[in-house]
Amino acid sequence: MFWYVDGNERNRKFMRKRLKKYFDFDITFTPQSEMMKIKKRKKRLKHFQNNSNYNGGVMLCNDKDTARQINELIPETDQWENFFKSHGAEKNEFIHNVPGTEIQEQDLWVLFSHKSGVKFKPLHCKWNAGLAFQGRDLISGQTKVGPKKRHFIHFFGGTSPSVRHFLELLQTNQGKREIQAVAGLMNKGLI
Amino acid sequence: MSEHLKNIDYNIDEDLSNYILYNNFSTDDQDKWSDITMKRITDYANRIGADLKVFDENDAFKLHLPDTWFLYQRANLLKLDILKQYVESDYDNCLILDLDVLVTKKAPSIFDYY
Repeated sequence: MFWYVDGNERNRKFMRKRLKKYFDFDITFTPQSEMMKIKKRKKRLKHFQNNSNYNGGVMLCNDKDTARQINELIPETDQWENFFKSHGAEKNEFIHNVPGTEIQEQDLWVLFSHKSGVKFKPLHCKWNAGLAFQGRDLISGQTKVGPKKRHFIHFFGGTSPSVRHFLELLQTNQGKREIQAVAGLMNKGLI
Repeated sequence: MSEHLKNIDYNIDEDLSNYILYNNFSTDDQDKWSDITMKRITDYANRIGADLKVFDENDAFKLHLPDTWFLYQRANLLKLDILKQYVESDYDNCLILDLDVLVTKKAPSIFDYY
């Protein structure tokens, strides 16, 4: 099973807090920026597998045995309420101005994968990175993976809603060149 | 185009930069943008010969959760239920895409890569 990592340290910090609060589960994530300092690919992969959290967007499952291992821990469709109640999380309140309060699917993927012993594998950034991604794949170390080289581009849910509107533009104009231009603007902090 | 933008070493289309600078992107109009991403996902599935199953709010409300949970919170958990369906299905491979993923027009089959 494959995913791409969420390197946003703020998100990871909130996830750690929620996992501790609701599931009494301790996890420490070494910052993904540390991965760049690891020279050997095998070690980078190990770092990814022990320190990654799903960034959403794309998940590839091509190994049923592994999927089954996680599936053992996922509540049945009619058992979700009981599951959250048993962890005191049935309210799951969204509190305005208090970031990081809501339980996210990413929390549960981390929880279930660690508890089941499943190690997710890394998708190449071509398959999930955001529009403004800097263009270096964390595991392979491949650089210059700019927007033109992406297969999938992830617009990251509620974290950057305005970007979604660019989709209309990208669709109606000349495609990849616009993506590059928008990415350029974003990387420069202009949008 | 503003002087500020002219100094950036990117090949920026003037219409594009004006569009970006002078439009008000204050709301998240999912109906508009999701038409585009959904069409790309559908085209992709057809192109690579994959079956497409769309999960929507009806599926989200099938998850038995407290009544106070709103749609986003429910939809947020759907992928875990999708994994369950994959395990119980006859499919060998499964690619789960969020609606806010844009599949580029020439994207190859991800199943050939992994």
